[in-house]
Amino acid sequence: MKHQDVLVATGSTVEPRRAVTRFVAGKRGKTTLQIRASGLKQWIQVEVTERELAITPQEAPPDDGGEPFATATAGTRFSYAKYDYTFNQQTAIKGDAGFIGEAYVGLEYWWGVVMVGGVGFGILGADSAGTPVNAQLVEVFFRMDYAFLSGKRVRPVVSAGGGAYRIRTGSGGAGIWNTSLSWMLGGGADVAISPRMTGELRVTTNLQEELNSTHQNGHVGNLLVIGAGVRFVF
Amino acid sequence: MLASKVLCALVCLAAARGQAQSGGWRLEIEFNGRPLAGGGVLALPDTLVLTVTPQDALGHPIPLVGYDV
Repeated sequence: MKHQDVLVATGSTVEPRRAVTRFVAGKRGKTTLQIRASGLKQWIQVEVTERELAITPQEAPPDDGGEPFATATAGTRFSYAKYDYTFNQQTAIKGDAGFIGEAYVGLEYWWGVVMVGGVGFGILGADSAGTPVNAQLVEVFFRMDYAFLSGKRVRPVVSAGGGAYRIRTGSGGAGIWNTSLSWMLGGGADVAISPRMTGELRVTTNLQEELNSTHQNGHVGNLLVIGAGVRFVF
Repeated sequence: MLASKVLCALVCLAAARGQAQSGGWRLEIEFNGRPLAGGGVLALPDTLVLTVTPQDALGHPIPLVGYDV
């Protein structure tokens, strides 16, 4: 995107001791104005989003002349999760609903890609031979999201990732007791809330595998995860 | 008359360039009637109006020359 597409000058009036210039917002993005008058200079950063135009004075010109290649980001998400536990074709334990909270940090690239790593903690319900139990979930993950329509306020997103997990119903090895790798695939939407804050809505499926057990390996279970969160850029 | 205005402008420009290095002179800028210093946010759709006033160290307006955005 050209920088002049972000802000369009519609006219200037120059008087002996002051000047007035009018602009209208163009496409979503960020640009820096350089103002010169009477031998003095001032830079102004302007960021146009779907609903707002943010103005920040700058003491120096931008060193790269434009939008950064990648920006640090961090976020948090809270999700409802439906657990389907099928490890080793057993029928004694059935997964149930629960909640997962997660926090992450990473990079947000200007063309719509967000790559993050984070941790998640969850409590999932389960039924063990008729007895309700809780399964505690810990995840460490890497995730990549791609948002289409990067200039829009609401952007469709596809999401994929993987990581390591540990899920247990207790400390004695009985019940659900798996620690291995998982994969996730899903999608949703990003919603621009402010120039630096984005809301996230996601529906994903997490596939848990057991790959390193000395007893039994195989598919452990599926998590249907429906969540919402916020993400900030710095 | 024209020559005196041009000369005045050149003198002011030269003086301003010198003072800019010392930090005494500055561009007083307002957006939509608000001071630029703290920045701000405008709701869209809206027109951004920048008003630029060169000032000396005491805050007095000085002649504006060589305006460019």
